[in-house]
Amino acid sequence: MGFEHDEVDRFAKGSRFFRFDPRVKLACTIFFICVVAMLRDLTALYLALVFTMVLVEASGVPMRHMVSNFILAFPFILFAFITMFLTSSLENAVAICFRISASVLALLLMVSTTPFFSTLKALRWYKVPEIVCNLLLFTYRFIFLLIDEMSRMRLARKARGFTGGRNLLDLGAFKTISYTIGMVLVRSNVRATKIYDALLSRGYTGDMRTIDELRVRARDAGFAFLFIGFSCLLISMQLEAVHWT
Amino acid sequence: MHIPDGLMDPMILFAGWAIALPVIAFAVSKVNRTVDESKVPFMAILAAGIFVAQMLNFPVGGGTTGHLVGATLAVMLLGVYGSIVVMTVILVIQCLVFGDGGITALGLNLLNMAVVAPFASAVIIRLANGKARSATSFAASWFAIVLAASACAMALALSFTLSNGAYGINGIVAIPTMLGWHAVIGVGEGLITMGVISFLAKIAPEMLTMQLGKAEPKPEVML
Repeated sequence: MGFEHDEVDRFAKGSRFFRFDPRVKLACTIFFICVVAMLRDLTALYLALVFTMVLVEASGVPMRHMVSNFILAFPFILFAFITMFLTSSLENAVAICFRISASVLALLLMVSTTPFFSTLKALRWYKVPEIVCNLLLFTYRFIFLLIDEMSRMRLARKARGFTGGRNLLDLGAFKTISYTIGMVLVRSNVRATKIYDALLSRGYTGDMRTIDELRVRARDAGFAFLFIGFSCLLISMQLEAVHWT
Repeated sequence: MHIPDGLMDPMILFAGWAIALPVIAFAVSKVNRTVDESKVPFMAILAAGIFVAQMLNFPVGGGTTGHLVGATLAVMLLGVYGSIVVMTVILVIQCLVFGDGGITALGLNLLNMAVVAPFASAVIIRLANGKARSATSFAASWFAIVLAASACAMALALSFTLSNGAYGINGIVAIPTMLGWHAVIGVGEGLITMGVISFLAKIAPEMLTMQLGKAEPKPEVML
């Protein structure tokens, strides 16, 4: 898999929304998803989906990246659609498809245009406990180290003829997989001790200092206005205050 | 088992947050009190280890694969409070970095995989009281997965009933499918957890003694 350390964030910097304030993006996205979660009106849901699709297109994040992440939610969408169609109504089935798709796209838009370190700054600003933020920061950093290590082990496994096994009865495959995981944990444990010692020798005491440069600019206000305005439109459609005739 | 946004009834989403958050807050404060803040990198790399372990697929049969949840593994390595914190961190990163699992649904996902699963494993481990380590780790993993899946299925079914069929998935379909599939997946989880624990017991037994959030760390192996 060969992840580089910032590979997940690789599209963030090329995106048009990259330099927008992460606090505004996070709050707007959560607000929008909450509003969408309450919608039942088919037209409103359709508009919400179109809105997120337009924003995704405008953000400049490559479609392939969005699609590969969107697929993660696909089993749920399909499962929900089929059972809704069979046990409720076609309208509800279509509505749930639109609702999940719009919410997932809105979340993906946020996560793929915001580097994780900016998201963390926003979380810290929203008073998420410091220990949780630091834990998130370190875990995020270490994941890529370990993925690299594991892809080397995967190559070694393949070179020795491991093919991945066929089913649950293939105990040999399970032995190999669990030993791989065990080895990843042992190596990460050894590495953690070294990193911890290195941090201590550089004066790490448990608190994190960053240069804080979060500032709300006009474009952030515009972004917020767009999201909140559109959400209000959706709410009013749901409450049947606005008719499209 | 990562529920996306837009699937559940808002009431259920709210209930998920309302149940999960206090438990997680308690676990965080417990870990915070007993673990020096400077131990954070240490927990983080174990969280990363479990995150990476979740990326390894195992074969289920018929070309399908499953992957580890790792809650039981986390409980065995870090104790119940440590595992709640670690699983929370993993789920938040999956949501905020990879968009896997929704942000309003995060409460429910946390409830299933960071609260129900660790507690279920901890109960089995406590009941076994250190006897038959392999069998215990298998049983605890299977039980944790099936219980988390049934919590998820119940939330889906409740959403469907509460909203008169506008949200969620009908319980008639959701409960048997989720339970059936995860009863199978759970076997894989059990086999792998069993393998990892016996591997660690041989290679690095000191890793099985790092119980976080306990008043006094016990020197002996928990299982």
